[in-house]
Amino acid sequence: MYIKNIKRGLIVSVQINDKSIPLDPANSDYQKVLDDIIEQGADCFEGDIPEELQAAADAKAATQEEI
Amino acid sequence: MFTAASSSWSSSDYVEFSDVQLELGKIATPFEHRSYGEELASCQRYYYKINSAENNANYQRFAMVNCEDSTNAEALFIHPVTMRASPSLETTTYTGFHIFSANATRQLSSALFIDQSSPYSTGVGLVVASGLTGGYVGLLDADNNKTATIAFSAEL
Repeated sequence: MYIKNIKRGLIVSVQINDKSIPLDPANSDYQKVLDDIIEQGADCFEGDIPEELQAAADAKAATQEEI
Repeated sequence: MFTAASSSWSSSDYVEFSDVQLELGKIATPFEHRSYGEELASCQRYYYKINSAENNANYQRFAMVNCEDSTNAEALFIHPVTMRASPSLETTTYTGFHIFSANATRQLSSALFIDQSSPYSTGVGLVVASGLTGGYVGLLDADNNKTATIAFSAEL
């Protein structure tokens, strides 16, 4: 289950076990986070899914549907 | 090249291949003799690890730390080469690390996470229970732990 890392009131990264994942679309772990949100929804996140991640996951899902 | 002590194979025989270059496509390019340093740099574009065990160090120094207040600090890692993307941070358990601050206190870490990451450098947020002083510098060390590692991954 993913956890939000928050600093200065902002989400700075996402944590799963001993791995911290930056919010960078070029990072393959970040893409896995989006895939998990698409597949599992809120079940994969502790608390609510951050808005920006949900928006990125929705955009990725829409792109996949077009393909 | 294969050599064996006798004309038959035994379980202790082996084959060594060298000077082999695998390439994508139909056109072979000249063989490249890359140095160890060149190969290492190419690998570090995707992944590198700072490993206490390799140095046999109980108190491996990982990075300089800036203490922000009594419980928060940030360690800066300048990557040895420009990485493919902003890397993920992979660590052993948090309890394997501590911050040794300029006021000579050793505070066990309770969290390590990416605060800011780019292909060039990564700021790692650190959290301790108490005891740091804002504005002080420190070291992020292994806490008497030879298995502590910090790795950065920007794999495809």
